[in-house]
Amino acid sequence: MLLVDNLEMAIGGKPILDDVSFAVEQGQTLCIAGESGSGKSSLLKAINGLMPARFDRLCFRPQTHREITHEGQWHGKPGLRGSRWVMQDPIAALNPKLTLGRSIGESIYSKKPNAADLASATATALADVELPPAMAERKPSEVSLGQAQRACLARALIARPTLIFFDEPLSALDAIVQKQIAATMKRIQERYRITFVIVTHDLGFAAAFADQMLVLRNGKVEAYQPAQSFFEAQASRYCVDLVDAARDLGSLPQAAEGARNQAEVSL
Amino acid sequence: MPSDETELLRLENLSARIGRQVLLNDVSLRVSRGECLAVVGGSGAGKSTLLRCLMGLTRPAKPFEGRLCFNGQNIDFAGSGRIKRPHGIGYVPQNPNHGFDPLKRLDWQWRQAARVVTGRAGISETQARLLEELGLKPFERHFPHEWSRGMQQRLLLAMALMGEPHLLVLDEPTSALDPLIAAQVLRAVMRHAEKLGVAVLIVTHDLSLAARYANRAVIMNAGRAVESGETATLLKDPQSDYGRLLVKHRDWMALEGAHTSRSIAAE
Repeated sequence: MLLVDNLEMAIGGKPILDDVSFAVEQGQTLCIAGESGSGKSSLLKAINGLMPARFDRLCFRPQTHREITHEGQWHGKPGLRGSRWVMQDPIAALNPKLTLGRSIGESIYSKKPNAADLASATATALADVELPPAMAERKPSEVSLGQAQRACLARALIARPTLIFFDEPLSALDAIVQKQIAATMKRIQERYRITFVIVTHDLGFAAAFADQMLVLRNGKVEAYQPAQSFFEAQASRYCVDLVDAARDLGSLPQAAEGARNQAEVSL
Repeated sequence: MPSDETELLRLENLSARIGRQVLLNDVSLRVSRGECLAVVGGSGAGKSTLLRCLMGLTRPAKPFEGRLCFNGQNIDFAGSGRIKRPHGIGYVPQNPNHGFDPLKRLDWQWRQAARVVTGRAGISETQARLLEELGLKPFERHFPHEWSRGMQQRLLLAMALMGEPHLLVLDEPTSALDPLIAAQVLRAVMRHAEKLGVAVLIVTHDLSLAARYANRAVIMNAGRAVESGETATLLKDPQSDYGRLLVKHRDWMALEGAHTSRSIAAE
C-alpha cells in the first residue's frame, strides 16, 4: 500500500539516507528503529515530501483517495492524502489557545462539515481514543501529557486516514501511560484496519506491535524483515547489540525464546 | 531508631513544598552499603524532588520536615538555618545536555569538577585510570558536542565517581538517551559500582528497568512512598493500588486490548 524504492537523501553533500526501500501492506505495522541520528525521522519527512529526496519510485495507494505515485523526486505539494501524523511531544503539537475539541475538529474543516456532523465526528473520535466527552472543552494546558497524546491520536483519526505516521509516539510519557496508549493504538488499528508506520527507540514496544521491522544505521538499512524473525535471530552484529541493549534495559524479556510466542498469545 | 553497620543512608519523614503546595509527604527510605535501590513512580510523583532534597538542594522545593542520616552525617530538615549538603553522593544527570556547559571545553569542565571535589585541578593517576576503564579518550581541546552522547554520559559518570562517593544517584538513566547508549552507560555504572562497593540509587518511571537492576524498590505516587520492599516480592504481590497498576503495565508483552479502559482514570 505504501511502497518506497531506493530512496536517497543528502544535505549539503553529506548523505543522510542511502538506498532505503520498503513496502507496507494495508492494516500492517512497520516499526522503524535505530539509534539517534540514524535518519529515522528524516525518512518519514522524505516520504511525505517535507525534505528533498531522490528515489526510483514512491507509491501510496489508499482506499479512500486517489493513488499517488512519484518517480525521481517529489512533485507538487507535500503530504500524502489519506495519511496523518502523530508527533512525539503532544503539548508542542497542539495549539495551546484552542480547546482539544477545536483542535480535533480542525482536522476535517477542509471537508466543510456542518456543525452537527462536526460535533458527532469529534465525539466519535474522542470515544475511539477513550477520552470522556468533557475533554473537548479543555485546553492542552489543562490536561495531562497522556490525555494530550490521546487527543493528538483523535485528531488523526477523525479524518479517517488509511495510514498514520507516528514519530516516537510514546517516548515523552511515563511507563504506565505508555502501555495504556499503546493498547488504545492497538484497538484502533484492529477496528479501522489502519496501517501504522512507527518510528521508535523502544524495541520492547516494537516487539509487541510490529509486523515488519526496519532498522536504520547511519542512513543505511541494517535490517528489513518480518518482526518475528527479527526478534528470533538477528542478521547482523549491530542488530544483536540493539536487542541486547533492550534486554539490559528490561524492555525485552531476558529469555530470547518464548518471548515472541507470548506476545502472539496476548495480542 | 537503631542503626547498624551496613546502613548508608536513612531518610525519615521527609516533607517538602513549593510555596503552599506540598510535593513530598512523609517519605522515608533506607539504603544499605553497596546495594542498588530503585525509586519508581510516574511523572509528577515527586521522584526528582526527593533526589534534590537528598543532595541538600532546597530549590525549587524546600524541605520543611524530616531528618537525613547519610554515612554518619546528620542533617535536620526541620531547622530554619541553611541545610547542609551531604558529602559522598555522586550524581549522574538524565542526559549530557543537563550535565555539561556546551560552550566550555571538556578539559575545563573536568578541572572545575576536580577542584570542587578533590581541591586540586588536573588529572591524577587514579582519575586517569578511571577514564581509561570507562573507555574515554584524552580531552585534547574538545567541546562536549564533539564527543558522542554515550561518551559524554560516561564522562559524567566518571565525574560522579571522581570523589569516590558512597552513593551514586542516577536520574532517569533511560528516558533521554537512546537504548544503545543507555544500556552501555548502565553496564559501566553497575560494573564500577560493584567493584568499588558503591550503593546505587536509580530513579525511574520504568518498573521493568528497576526490576532488572535493583534489589529493593520504593514506589512513589503523588508525593508519598506508597510501597517498598524487595523487588521480587513487589513484582509478585504488590500491596498498593498504584503498585498493582505498575506491575500490570510492566511488560510490553502484557499489552492487551480488552480491559484497560478502567485504568485510564489513573493517567
